[in-house]
Amino acid sequence: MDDRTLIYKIQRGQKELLNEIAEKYYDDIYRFCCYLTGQREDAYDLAQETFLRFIQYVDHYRYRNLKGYLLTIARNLCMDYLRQGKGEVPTDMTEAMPKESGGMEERGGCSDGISELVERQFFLGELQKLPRIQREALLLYYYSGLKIREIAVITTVPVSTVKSRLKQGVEKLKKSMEEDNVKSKISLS
Amino acid sequence: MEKEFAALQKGLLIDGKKRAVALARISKEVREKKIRVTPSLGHRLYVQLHYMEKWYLLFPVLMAAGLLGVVKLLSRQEGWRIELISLLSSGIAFMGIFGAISVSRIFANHMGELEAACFFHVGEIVAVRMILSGLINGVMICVCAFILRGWMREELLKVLVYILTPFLASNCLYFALFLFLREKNMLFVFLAAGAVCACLWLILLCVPWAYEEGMLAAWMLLLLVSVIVFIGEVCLMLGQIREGEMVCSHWN
Repeated sequence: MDDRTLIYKIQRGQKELLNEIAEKYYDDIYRFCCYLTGQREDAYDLAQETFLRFIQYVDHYRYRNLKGYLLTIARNLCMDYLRQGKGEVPTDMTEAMPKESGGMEERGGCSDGISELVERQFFLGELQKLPRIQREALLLYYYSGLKIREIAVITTVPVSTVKSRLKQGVEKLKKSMEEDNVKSKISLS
Repeated sequence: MEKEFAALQKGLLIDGKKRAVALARISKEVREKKIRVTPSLGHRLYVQLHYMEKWYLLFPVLMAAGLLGVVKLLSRQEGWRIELISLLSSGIAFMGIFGAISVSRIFANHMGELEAACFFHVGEIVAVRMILSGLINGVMICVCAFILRGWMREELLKVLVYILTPFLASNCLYFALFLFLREKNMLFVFLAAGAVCACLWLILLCVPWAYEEGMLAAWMLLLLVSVIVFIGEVCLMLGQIREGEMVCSHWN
């Protein structure tokens, strides 16, 4: 059942379908909160609160993009959370990283898998170092797959601002990843 | 960059227990949730049409048909022009009371008082009734004007102005009575007002120059004034309904 049908049926009284929406989007929302706040534990509460808010407002929700709407709620909750001064010290995400990389065997080697895992951990670390507004734009664009126009609406900034945040964020990430490559080459030699 | 972010999609393990706890909490909220169903515009219109009284939609059609029959009979008389117009405009002026009666019956039946307790929207009911009534009356007036034009070999616009002006001017009076009189049942007031208006427009039979070419501008001016007054009255009425004044003014 697609999102539009789900919302249509919920608004006509089939409220149990709200569980289906929670089941479908919980992981995405959790990870988004986690990457945005840098807090693994509190992200569970933030994701849960996102769905509780959605349930509260679902009567008046006019369907457009459900995932975008949930991300908007999640983003606002995360902003409130960060404004309260919580999440200043990001938790270590590496503990929650899968120890075995998916598709490791397919690429024919354990070393490939390990290097991929290290790369991913490094990337996540660099992402957490970015300023909040750039991290937010990158997550919404690359991770959640939203359009720039949608991100502008969610973050209440002009489209040009979103573009510049994305550009700056990508440049910083690329730069740090290139530096890391150079360092690893030096250490290998 | 897409590749790195794609890797993040499954790059963070979620604690199954915590996830289950969160989903259970959400499920509890879902059970307690009371969905306030917001019906679509089409459904609301269907409900309005289903429950409304149909007689007042039928009466104008029957009356217009009856009027046309009488006018058709009279049109056989040679040289009758003003008489036909005057008779038709007088009848159509009376026809306007059906719309006013249907709206006033909403308040006579204490629907204004019941609004809050019974989850219906008096303003919406009034609006739907007025729109439907206006549509039916409008169609009937256009049909009458079109047929009369054929019988009299007059311009359509001219005939339309001669018929529409009495209708709107009379409606202004009916709605003014509805707005400013504190009567519980307005049926007899409207019937009396309708009779008075019909007689007033028949008086024009004695004033043949009123239908002369030069007076068309005066007719159009009267039509314009009637339209403005009528819109003002409708706005006033909807404002009174919104603020609850209409309920109090029809209590006693």
